[in-house]
Amino acid sequence: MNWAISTEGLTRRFGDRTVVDGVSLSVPRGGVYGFLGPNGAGKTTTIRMLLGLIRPSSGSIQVLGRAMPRQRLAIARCVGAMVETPSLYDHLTARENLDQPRRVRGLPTSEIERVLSIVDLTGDSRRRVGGFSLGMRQRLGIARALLGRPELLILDEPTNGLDPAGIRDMRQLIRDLPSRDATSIMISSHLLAEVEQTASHVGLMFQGKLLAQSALTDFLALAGGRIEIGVRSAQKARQVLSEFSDGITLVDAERLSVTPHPKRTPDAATINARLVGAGLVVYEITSRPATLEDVFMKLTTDVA
Amino acid sequence: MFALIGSEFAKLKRTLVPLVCIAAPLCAATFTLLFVLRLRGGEQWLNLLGEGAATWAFFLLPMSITALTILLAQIEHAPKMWTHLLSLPAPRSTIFAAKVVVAFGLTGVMSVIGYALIYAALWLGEFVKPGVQLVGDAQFDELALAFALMAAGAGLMIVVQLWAALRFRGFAIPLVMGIVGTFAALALASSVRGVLLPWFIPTYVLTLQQPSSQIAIWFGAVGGVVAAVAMVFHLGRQERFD
Ligand SMILES: Nc1ncnc2c1ncn2[C@@H]1O[C@H](COP(=O)(O)OP(=O)(O)OP(=O)(O)O)[C@@H](O)[C@H]1O
Ligand SMILES: [Mg+2]
Repeated sequence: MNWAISTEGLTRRFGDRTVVDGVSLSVPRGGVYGFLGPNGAGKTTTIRMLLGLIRPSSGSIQVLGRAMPRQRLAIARCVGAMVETPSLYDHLTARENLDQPRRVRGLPTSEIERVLSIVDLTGDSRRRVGGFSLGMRQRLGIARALLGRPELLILDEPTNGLDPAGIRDMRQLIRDLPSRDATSIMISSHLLAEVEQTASHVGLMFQGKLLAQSALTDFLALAGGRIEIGVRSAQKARQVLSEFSDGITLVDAERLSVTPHPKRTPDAATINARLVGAGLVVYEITSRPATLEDVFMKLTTDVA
Repeated sequence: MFALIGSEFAKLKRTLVPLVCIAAPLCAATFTLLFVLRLRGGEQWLNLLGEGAATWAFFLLPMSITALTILLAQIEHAPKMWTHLLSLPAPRSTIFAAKVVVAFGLTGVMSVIGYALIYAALWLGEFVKPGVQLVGDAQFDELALAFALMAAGAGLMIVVQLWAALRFRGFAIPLVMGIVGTFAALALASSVRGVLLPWFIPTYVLTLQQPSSQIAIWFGAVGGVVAAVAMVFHLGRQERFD
């Protein structure tokens, strides 16, 4: 397979601290890769290496089939990036902010109009960025990364600090990009909920290591989700259901949480029938999809 | 590279940079004007122009270069722009080389304005103060040469200041360097000769008849180019600026 990004044993140390430790990424072309991990996991440090901003201590990087850092210029021409909160010149207008990278990339001025309209900032393009809201700044950062229709887009926490509406708009924007420009996207985040609605593939970083990497569906199956049951006498219900799963926990006197067993656990309807059959009053059964926390807890306890 | 230099100049819009480029020459002109207004009767052009050039060389040139280089660096430091700049498809060295070109360019612009305003101040003084008369040769060529040589000799000072301003995220270090350098040069003025302190070098233009002064100017100019190459190399390898 021809990867958008592939790394082998990528490692970076600061002093005697290993911040990125033997990471082998495989980011497929044409998809959205969610790069997950809690604060301090090493996501930004990895991205800085992918962009040639810092050198790896060891390991190799291929971006769009070329070696980083040796072919940084050729790679940089085909990559757009936004790292952490976008840095913008507050004293310049949105348009002037885009004009600087446009010149360096040797693009026509029409490219500015194009990216401004994608992020819906055309109307504010002649205002100074100093007066922009966080959401507008974030969108302008994305617009800057989109200049020149990059083959690969790397976005580090693009929804950081956005309100729910802003997050929704950003999600829609990212979802539309691959079909619009045939772009591969890598997007880092510490929220699975955000990534699972856009990503096709996921990698999970934890304490500098890449714990798991796969298609999103396989990834969520790793944790398997939970079934939550509201029932009079949770204690009794647990006994009834004990044959279906080993992972049944009492949340309180009337609530149960069941971690499904891939073979033994039936669907919610069957569980309901069994509980009612045992004379229990069931007032709620919910299938909860796996959260980052679930996958995370599972993977990190597996590691430990 | 040309695109980078163009965008460097475009960034200066609405910053304090244009103000500094006007304010420093205006200060030199004001000092000169005040000097003329204290005169009675006739005075040689040569002496008055010497006053203007000395103000420029000893004080306004180093202080305005300190200010300009700090502003040029803070445009990038303040919004933490390095991540963006250094991921652009341009060799890292050209990003810093463009800054050097802009710093030299602004010094040139400021020198031209300074040259013009000093004459304007002298004529204005002669016009408003009754009895004052400027006599002798107006020395247009000589003062132009002096300003050009001061700018050239300032090369090393420009690069040293710019280097410190870009290297450190805060502006305290380059600011202190600029102030200390300027006042050290003032202190040296009357006593020592032959000192190659970057902030002192432009003042050798005032004693250009001496061969040692000409060597000092050369040292400032060539040293500036050499230091610029070293700076571009050093900063091009630096990983983090914020
Ligand atoms: N230049 C540096 N010098 C020393 N330590 C560093 C440096 N840069 C990053 N680190 C450390 O590396 C670790 C990982 O940081 P990184 O920014 O890559 O995490 P992250 O996954 O992006 O986290 P977040 O979600 O908070 O952005 C942190 O503990 C940080 O302190
Ligand atoms: Mg980060």
